Amino acid sequence: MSTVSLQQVFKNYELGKTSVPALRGIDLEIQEGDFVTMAGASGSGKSTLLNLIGCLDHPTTGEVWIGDTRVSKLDDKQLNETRLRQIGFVFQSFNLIPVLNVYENVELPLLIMKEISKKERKQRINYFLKAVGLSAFADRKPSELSGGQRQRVAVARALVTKPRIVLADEPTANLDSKTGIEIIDLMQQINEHEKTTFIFSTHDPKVMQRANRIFHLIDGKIEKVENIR
Amino acid sequence: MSLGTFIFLATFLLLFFTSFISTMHNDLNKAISNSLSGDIQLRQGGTTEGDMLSLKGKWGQMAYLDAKTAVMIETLLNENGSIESYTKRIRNDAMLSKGSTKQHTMVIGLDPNLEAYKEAFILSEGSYLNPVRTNEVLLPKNYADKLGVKVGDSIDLMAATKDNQEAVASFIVAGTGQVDRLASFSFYPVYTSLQGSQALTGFQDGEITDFIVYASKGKSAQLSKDLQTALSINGLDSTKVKVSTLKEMGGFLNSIISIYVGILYAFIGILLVIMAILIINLIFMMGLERRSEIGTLRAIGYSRDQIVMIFLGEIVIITTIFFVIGLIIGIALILLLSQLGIPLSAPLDLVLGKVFNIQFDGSQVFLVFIIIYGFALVSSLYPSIKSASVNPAETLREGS
Ligand SMILES: Nc1ncnc2c1ncn2[C@@H]1O[C@H](COP(=O)(O)OP(=O)(O)O)[C@@H](O)[C@H]1O
Ligand SMILES: [Mg+2]
Repeated sequence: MSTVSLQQVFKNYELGKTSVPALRGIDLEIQEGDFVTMAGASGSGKSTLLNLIGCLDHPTTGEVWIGDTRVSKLDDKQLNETRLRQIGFVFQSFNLIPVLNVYENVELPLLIMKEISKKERKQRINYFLKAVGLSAFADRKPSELSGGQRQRVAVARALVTKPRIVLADEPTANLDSKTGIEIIDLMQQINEHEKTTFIFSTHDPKVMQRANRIFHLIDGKIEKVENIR
Repeated sequence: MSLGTFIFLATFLLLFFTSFISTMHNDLNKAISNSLSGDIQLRQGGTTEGDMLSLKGKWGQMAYLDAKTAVMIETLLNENGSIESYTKRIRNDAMLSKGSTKQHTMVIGLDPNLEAYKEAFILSEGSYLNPVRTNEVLLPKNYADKLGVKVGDSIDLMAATKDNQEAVASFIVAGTGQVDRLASFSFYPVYTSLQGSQALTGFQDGEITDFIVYASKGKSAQLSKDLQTALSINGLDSTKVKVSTLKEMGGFLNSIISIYVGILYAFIGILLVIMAILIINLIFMMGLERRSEIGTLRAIGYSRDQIVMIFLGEIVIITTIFFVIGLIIGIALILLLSQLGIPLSAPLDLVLGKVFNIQFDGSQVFLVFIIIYGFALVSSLYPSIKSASVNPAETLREGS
């Protein structure tokens, strides 16, 4: 069964009287444990697509499935729950909370998962801080970290809830190319180790080559699917 | 101005105002029960409660009951079964004088055989007025000390008579003691006999300023009505004789206080409205500043309500810290002012005295607590909900 499935998805943004088509008939299937990328130039619809998969927005027409749930059938509360439990987010600008330290930033999503005990919370945070190589930086504020380190914190925060899918919208765009590749490599290790599905977007040819599959987006359409491995 | 500063100020001011108001009410109630010992007053018609309560007599315009009227009233009082007792009084402004020391006072002449006045004068030295000796006075202890007179000494009283002539009479100090006066009036009364007061007012036998009537328990309102009816049957309507109950006298005092209480409440109201506007603004600004953080939290699974709770939690913490600071400083200042006293001007000084000693009232703390927290939380609710309702897809787009 696919973890993510889109059927005939269209998305138009209404700007006053004009309608901007961002996605124009997307069909795709992503299997459990896959490591895929949405590749395309700026404006090709990568963010729009990831937002739809991430339950942050609704398609104009068409259906988005996460596992066997149809996203359009979910109410606000269920959407929150889906984002919290099924999906982890990594953002282009890291989006850490500046007043919280590394540990607390990673802890954020766990604070609202009532079923997770304090003890387990602590174990998980430490486990994923170790996985991203930041155990020694737990007390630091984001402002005291480099860009690459910040994005590692974000990866740990995305993973700590043990989601099925991690969505990363241009996670390397604000990093130098070496650090960017390191982040993708880190995600790949975790993908292999934890079997978490990763979907990231990029316009960097070197970065996209790290994926198992590349969905090439042009003007809101998937022009080509390239299988690397 | 930050939210904390404002919570601090609001706590401080609210505590101050509520203590002020509660002290005023306390003083007032004491004033009424202490000084108007008696239930009903009968005096010349056309005078107001204010004229009677004011110890600043109008020189040369003395209001009084003539002998014929007084006799008629007395007959009616004697006939009435609901009356415990009554006393005739002659009140006049006067000046105590011993050598070069002077003290403004009010002389109350009464019938020493009627003992009710003793309740309002706690003797510390000497004895109460001897009905046989008409030139005796009872002096408040502090005046006796100030003038340097002791029991048995003589002392002069000067006053203006009803015909606006200057009168001087010599008296013997029969006793000194603590006087219940209208709370914090600017001066204390001196008691003497009716004859003693006649010398100072130029009143003929039978002329008096007022009657004070003590009603049987629970009868005062009815008695007042009955007396009014009886008086008008005998040709003495309210233009000739005015009947006031203690309640009405108190009502007059209360109405003076009410104006000030009203002003203070209006001030508190304005303060709270400003506080609400300020909080609403601050939270909106806080929400704008943290727009992208809120969007991030929403994206990773926080619900709108969970973010609202975070906001409110912060408000509670800030409010608590600055509430406590405001409380400590407010209490300290009130305690300090209760030592120093606040000078008052007319007409408040009439009721509360020249110097107002604000008292700290612990029961007000709870009221202030409820108001501050209530307002802080209620006014932050709407902007918190607004701020938490961001669309994460939008904020993410803005951020990149
Ligand atoms: N909120 C929006 N309102 C209007 N147009 C939008 C909005 N978001 C995206 N678009 C438009 O949709 C198209 C796709 O945008 P986006 O998904 O951000 O592409 P990418 O992430 O690949 O740069 C672009 O033409 C963009 O201008
Ligand atoms: Mg984008």
